[in-house]
Amino acid sequence: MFMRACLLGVSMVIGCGLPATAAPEDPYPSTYAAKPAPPTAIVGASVLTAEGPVLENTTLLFSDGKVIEIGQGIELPPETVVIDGAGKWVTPGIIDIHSHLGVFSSPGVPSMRNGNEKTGKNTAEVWAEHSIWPQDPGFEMARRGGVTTLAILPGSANLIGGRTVTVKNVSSVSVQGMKFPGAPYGAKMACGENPIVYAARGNDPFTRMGNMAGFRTAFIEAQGYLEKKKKGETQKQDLRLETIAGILSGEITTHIHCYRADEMMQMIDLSKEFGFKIGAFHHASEAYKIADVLAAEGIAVATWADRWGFKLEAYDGVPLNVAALEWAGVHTMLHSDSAVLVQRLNLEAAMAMASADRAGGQISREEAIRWITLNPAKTLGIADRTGSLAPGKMADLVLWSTDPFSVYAVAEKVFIDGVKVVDRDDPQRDPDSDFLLGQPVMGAGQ
Amino acid sequence: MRARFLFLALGMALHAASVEADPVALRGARILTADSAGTIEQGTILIDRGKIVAVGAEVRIPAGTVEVDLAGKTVTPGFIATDSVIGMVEISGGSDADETSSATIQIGAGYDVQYAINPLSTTIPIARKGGVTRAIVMPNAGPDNATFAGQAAILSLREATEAEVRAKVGIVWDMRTRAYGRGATFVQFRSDLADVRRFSRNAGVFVKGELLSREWSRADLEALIPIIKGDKPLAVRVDRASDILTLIDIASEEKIRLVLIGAAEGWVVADRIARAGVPVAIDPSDNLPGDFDEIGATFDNAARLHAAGVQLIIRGGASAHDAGKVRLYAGMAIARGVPAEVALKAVTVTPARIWGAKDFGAIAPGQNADIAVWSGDPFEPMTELTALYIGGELQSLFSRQDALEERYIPAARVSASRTNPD
Repeated sequence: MFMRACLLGVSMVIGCGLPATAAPEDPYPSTYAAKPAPPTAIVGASVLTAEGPVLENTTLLFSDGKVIEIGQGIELPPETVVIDGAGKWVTPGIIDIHSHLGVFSSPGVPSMRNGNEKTGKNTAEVWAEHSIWPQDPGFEMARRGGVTTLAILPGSANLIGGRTVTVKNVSSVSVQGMKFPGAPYGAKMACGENPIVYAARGNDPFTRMGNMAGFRTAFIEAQGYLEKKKKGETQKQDLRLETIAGILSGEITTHIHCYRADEMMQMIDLSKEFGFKIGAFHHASEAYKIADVLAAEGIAVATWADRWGFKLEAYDGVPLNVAALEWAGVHTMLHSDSAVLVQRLNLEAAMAMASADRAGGQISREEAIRWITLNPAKTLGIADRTGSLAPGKMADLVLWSTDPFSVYAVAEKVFIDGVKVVDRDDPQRDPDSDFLLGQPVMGAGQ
Repeated sequence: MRARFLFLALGMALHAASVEADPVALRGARILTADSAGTIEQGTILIDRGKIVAVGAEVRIPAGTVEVDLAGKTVTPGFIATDSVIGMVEISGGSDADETSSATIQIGAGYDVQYAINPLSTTIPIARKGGVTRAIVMPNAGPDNATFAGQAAILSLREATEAEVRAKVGIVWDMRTRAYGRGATFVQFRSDLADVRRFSRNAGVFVKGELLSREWSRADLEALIPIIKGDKPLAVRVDRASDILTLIDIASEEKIRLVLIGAAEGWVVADRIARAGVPVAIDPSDNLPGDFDEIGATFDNAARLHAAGVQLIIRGGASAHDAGKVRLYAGMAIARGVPAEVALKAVTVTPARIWGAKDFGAIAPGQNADIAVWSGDPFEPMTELTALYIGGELQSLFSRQDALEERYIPAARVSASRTNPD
């Protein structure tokens, strides 16, 4: 696989040429390499690039995994597979920046609840990728919803829950075969109810003040570790402190689960106390209350269109949250946190747009598509390669049956690095997931 | 802000009063009737004393009628959220602000959701904003986790201090097969039914302690009598195809009116469900093998059941907070092959009739004027609800969420006057 990827000349930032024994600075490397695919052109579609205005009646040509050209009157190379896009829409592949696919898999049996390492308040040493079950059928359902890239996060039971991983939503027997080559790591943190409620029995934190003390203690410890590391002093490798030191040095992005405005303000002060940058607040039901602060601090928000009320800290969630953040200049994203919602992030975006309309404001399709494509790509540090449609970027894209913000929109074809991974015109295809393959019920009742 | 509230409240009161006094004609809209009239373009609905009096392209308007111009709008019956816990839940988790089931083994089938409903819950105005006018409120599994959960009710989402509830419209059974094991669950079910039949013939058996299947409470026995008589439906939350077949067989032998809720693998036995005349309430987004009882879950379930001739109810947004999203679930079903007319009925007239309500659910003479007015296609997220009537009364579309938005979001403050239909 490695060899073939290299021979095919597939661009891999990391991966090719690595020795079989991984270098300490990059263990568990990506082995993902796109399969070869013919040059393909979608002709006559409305194209939302996530970079500019909707391009009507436009042709999009991709080849060797990359977008080649977008425009009208493009000369197509011989042997190009031509797809009629008349009346249809093309968008970048959707990116879900908050997913637990593979770590909380379907079926949701107890043995597959691998997303929360509930052994302590700080489990920064765990990596989500070591829990991912690539056969989770949820990946395939998300793919059929147009999702081409996902950030898989540990759960929110701990103050520092571990490392996140960014994956391409491709079928693979190993998680290494899904890992987005060269994507930076993230760290999951959580404030509020969850670390208190789900804390390992008999352990702290018991209160929100306990949460803050737990964070501060962890960062103080990591400061010393990082100091020694910078000076080149020898010390025993500590997986937990490696992750937190990575946050302090800026190599690891922080994804902070936080609902309430007052708690986000506490976390902002925490970041100032220890000199790290908050990447994004996730869920952030009350972000609209501090939209100006978030904009000024350059902190991104990933949230839902209008989920609320499932616990007290989410009681003040409002449907205008997303639009209010966008209007305030916050780097705004929609996320799913759900194996169901991930399949219709386009509708989440439509719902958030609709709320803006009702308030008499305006959110354009061009803005809304970024919430689920380019903006998460930027926060994940992969926007130079995916998240929008432009020559040279990965051909991660969706052909929709109609306006993607319509409830009737269906992802007819999905491409990842130019490879067709979903095709509604070929419904007899076997399921991708080994788990669903050959199940008698799938062929029953025909 | 306070002044505006008062002003709006006054406006609403006046409007409601005028509805009481004078007939109202809603004119010029595209009317999706969910009735035999189908879709009427540029039609008129005449409302008097809370009821629809006439509907059609040409309707005679009596003198003194208040006319409301709805040109360019689309009108539907108010939507019905089936299998909801709205009113029973303010906050779902960790807040002691939810009650969805019995907590005592003594009251199972007799558990009555009407007492758990708080008509002043913040979830109700939010559901109204999704065009929902009624909900079939259904309990979750009780403490034995295996048999009857309790009695469902129909809740009107009308603004009111006192809940407008039609109680005891059917019994819900949340079939958690693992609690007893299937080999015990269905045996228990049959012997429970036998006991209820004996009790129904002669209530004295209860006093004499001659009932055999379990230690019954009288409330549970009495609640089940309408079920064994076939007067009210038994709604069972069930997914696995084999369980569906077992239930159909028992229901047919016992002459029980069965309704299937969930039925993720319903499509596998669609012909059997159709032949038995059993309606199915489907969440069209349910396509994941969440457990080994629904390995066959698929997006195509609703369309396949419909194609086989099964009567569909569309449910979705099961949490109290998402009850207003049922219209989007109808849209999702349409996107996956259910005809739009069927989807409309599946969130209006079909659930109303299945739960025994003959007086709402469609836009037709004699029906309660439960009417939603839309800026366009009611199933599209981008469409806005512009007005909502329940029993002919114009409802407030102002929620706690609107109040929060007005407090914190400048754009919402500027446009606050838009949040009310008047």
